[in-house]
Amino acid sequence: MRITQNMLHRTVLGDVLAARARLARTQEQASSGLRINRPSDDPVGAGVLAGLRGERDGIAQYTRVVSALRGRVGALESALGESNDVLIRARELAIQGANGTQDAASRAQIAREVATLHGALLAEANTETAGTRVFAGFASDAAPFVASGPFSLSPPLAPTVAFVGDSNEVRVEIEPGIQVSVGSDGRRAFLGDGDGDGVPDPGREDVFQVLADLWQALVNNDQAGVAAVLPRIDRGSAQLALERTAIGATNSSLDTAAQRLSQRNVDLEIRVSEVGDADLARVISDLTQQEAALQAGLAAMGRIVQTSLLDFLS
Amino acid sequence: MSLNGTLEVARSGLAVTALGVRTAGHNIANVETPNYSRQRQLLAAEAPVPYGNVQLGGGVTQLGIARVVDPFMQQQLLASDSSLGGTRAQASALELIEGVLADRAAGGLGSALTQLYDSFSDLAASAAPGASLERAEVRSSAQSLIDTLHRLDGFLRDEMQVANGQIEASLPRVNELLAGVRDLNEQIARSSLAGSPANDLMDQRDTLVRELASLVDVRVHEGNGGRIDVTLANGVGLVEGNQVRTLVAVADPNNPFDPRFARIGLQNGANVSDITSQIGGGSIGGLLRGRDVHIAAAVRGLDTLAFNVAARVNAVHAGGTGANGAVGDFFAQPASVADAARNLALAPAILASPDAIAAGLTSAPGDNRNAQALAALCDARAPIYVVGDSLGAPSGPTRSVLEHFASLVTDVGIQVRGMSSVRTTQEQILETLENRRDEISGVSLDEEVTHLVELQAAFQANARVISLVDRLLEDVVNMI
Repeated sequence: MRITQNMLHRTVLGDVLAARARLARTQEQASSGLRINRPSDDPVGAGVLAGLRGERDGIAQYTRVVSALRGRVGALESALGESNDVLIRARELAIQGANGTQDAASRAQIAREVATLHGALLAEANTETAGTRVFAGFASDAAPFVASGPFSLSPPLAPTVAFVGDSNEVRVEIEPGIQVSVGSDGRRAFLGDGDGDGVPDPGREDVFQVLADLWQALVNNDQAGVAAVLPRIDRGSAQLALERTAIGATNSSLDTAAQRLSQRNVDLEIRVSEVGDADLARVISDLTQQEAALQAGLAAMGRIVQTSLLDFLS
Repeated sequence: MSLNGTLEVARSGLAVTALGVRTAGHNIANVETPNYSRQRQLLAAEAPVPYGNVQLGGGVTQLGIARVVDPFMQQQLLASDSSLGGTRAQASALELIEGVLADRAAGGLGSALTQLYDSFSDLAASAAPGASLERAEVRSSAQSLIDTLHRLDGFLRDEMQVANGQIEASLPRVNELLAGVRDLNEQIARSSLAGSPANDLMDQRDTLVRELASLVDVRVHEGNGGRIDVTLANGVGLVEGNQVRTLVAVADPNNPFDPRFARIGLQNGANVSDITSQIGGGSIGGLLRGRDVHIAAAVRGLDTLAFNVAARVNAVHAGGTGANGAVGDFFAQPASVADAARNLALAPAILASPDAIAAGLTSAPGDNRNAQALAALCDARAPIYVVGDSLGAPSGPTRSVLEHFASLVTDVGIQVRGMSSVRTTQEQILETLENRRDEISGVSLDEEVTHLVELQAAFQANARVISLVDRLLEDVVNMI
C-alpha cells in the first residue's frame, strides 16, 4: 500500500478535528451543566424533558394560585370569626338586657350598643379583599348586603338588610382536577337563606334581623322579648360557626395542596435533573481523556511534518 | 558494430534519465496540487539493430508520460462530493430550525405558550373587579405569544430567502464550471489528436467536475477524443461534445411562500425546461430541500401551533362573556392553517379593551368559570388541526397544544441527529475515497526522492559508458 504525505496529513487532520469537535461538545456539557443542550443531543430525552419541564411549570402555576387564594380564604375566615365575636357580644348584652334589674333607660343604653354591633356585622358581611367582596358570589364588585336605613327612635324602627349579591360559588382549581370554593354564600351565612326563597330556612336565622329584633325589644323595654332573642342569637352563632368550618376545610385543603405541590415539584426537579443534567464526574473525566487524545493527535501531526527521506540523504 | 553506436545508446539513456528527473521534479512540484495525479514515464527499449546474425540493443526511448489513475475512482469521488454537498446544506438548515424551536433561552416559544395559559389561570384565581390587572396580563401574554410566533416565522422565512439567494448565486458558478469543462474538453481533444495526452489538463478538468458535483449531482461519461460528457442523474446532458446547456433560475409563481423563489431550469436553445426535481444532491439540491422541505415544514409547524392555539382558545372564549358584556373570539381566527403564525392577531374587541376578555360565563365581575376553562386548555387533548384542515374539522392526532409543540421540537431533534450522523459518515467515506485516490494517484515524496536517487545512479552509469567509449576511442586514435 502506498502511503503519501497527503494521506497522513488528511487522516491526522480528520482525527484532530473530530477530537476537537468531541471536546467542544464535552466542554459545552461541562460549562452548561446540561447533558441535553439541544434536542438533537438526545431527541427522546429532550421530549421527556420537555414534558417534565411543562409539568414542573404547571406545578409552579398551581403553587402561585394557591398562595394567591390564601389571602381571600383568610379574609373569609376572619370575617366569619369576627361576625361570631359580634354575636357573642350581642349575647352578653341580651343577657344583660333580660335581667329584671334593668330599667327603660339602661335598656335604651344597651340598645345603642346593639345598633353599633349591627353596623359592625354589616361591615363584616361586606368584607372586601383586593377589590373583591368575598360574600357576594360573582357580583363581587359591590357590597352584597344593603341596610334599608339607619336605626331611628321615633318611631322605633330597625333597618332590614337585603342581600343584593348572588349565590354563585367562586371555584378555583388548585391542583390538577381539584377545585375548591373560595367564596362563601353570604345569604346562607348571614341571612340563613340557603335555598334562596327570601326567608330563613327552618332552624336558621337572619342574624341582622336577630340584632334588629333585640334592639327593638330593648328600645321597647320588653324584657320577655329580649329573653326570647337569646336562643336565636345562639342559633345564628352556630350558623356562622358552621360556615367557618367549611372555610377552614378549604384552608386546610390549600395547605395540603401546597404541601403536595411542593413535594411534586421536588420529585420533578429530581427527574429533570436525572434526564437533563450532565454527570459532572463523567464529563470531567471525559474532558481530561479527550484533551489527552487531542494533544496526542497534535503531536502526531508535528511528527509527520518533520520526517522525510530527505532527512537521511546527504 | 561501431563505438559510435554504443555512444548513441548511452546518449539515449542520458536523455531518458534527464526526462525522468524532469517528471519526478514535476511530481514533487505538484505534491500539494489538489487532484494532481502523479505522472510516470512510459519507457521501452529502442528497436534493435541487426548486426550480422544478432540483434543489438538500440538504447531506450520514452514512449510518453502517463498519469497514474483509477478511472472508477473519479466516479466514486463525484458521487461522494454530491451527497456530502447535499447533506451539509440540509444539516445546516435543520440545525438552524432546531435553534429557532429549541427553547433554552428565555423568550422562546415554549415559555410564551405556557405564559398565556398561566395568565388565564391567574385570571381565574383572582376573578374580581380588580382583575383588570390580570386581564391586562392575559392580553399582554397573548400579545407576546403572537410577537414570538411572528418573530420566529419571520426568521424562518428570512432563512428561506437566504437559501434561495444561495441557490441563485450558485447557478452562475455551475455554468462557469460547465463552460470550463467544455473548453478543457476541446484542448484535451486537440492534444490527444496530436498524439500526446494532456495529463495536467485532465487533472484540471477533474477538479472542475468535482466542484461541479459538490454543487449539483452530475454524472460523467467518456466521450470521444478524450472528451467527457457531463449529465444530470437522469441522463439529461449538460456538456455534450462542444455543446453546453446552462442552468437558469426560474421564478415559481406557485410557491406558497414567495412567488419569486427559484426553481431550476435547463436552458435548451430558446426553451427552458424545469429540472428542479432532477436535482437531488450537491449543495444546490441540499439548499432546495432545505428551503422547500425542512424550513417549509418548520414554518408550517409554527402555523399549526398558532392555528390550534387560536381555534381552541376561541372555542372556549366565545362561550363566555366579557366584563363589558362582549361575546366573541379572543384571537382573530386565522382563515387557514397555512400562514396562521404570520397572520395571528388578537381579536379587535380584545385589542380595544381587555374588559372584552371573557373570564366568566356571565359578565358578573366575580365569575371566573370561563377563565378556569381557558386555563384548563393547556393540558386538554383534542384532535390537532393540520395543514389543509378547515375550522371545525381537525384531522390530526389527539394532543394537547403543549404536546404538539414538544413533538415539533422532538421531530426536528431527531432529523438533526439523523442528518448530522449521515454527514459524519459521508465525511468519513469521502476521506477514505480521497485516501484511496492518493494511494493510487498521489505523490509520495519518499517514492519520488528514491526515484531521483535511482535516476542519479542511472545517469552516472550512462555517463560512465560514454567516458569508457571516449577512452576506447582515444586508445584507437593513439594507436594511429
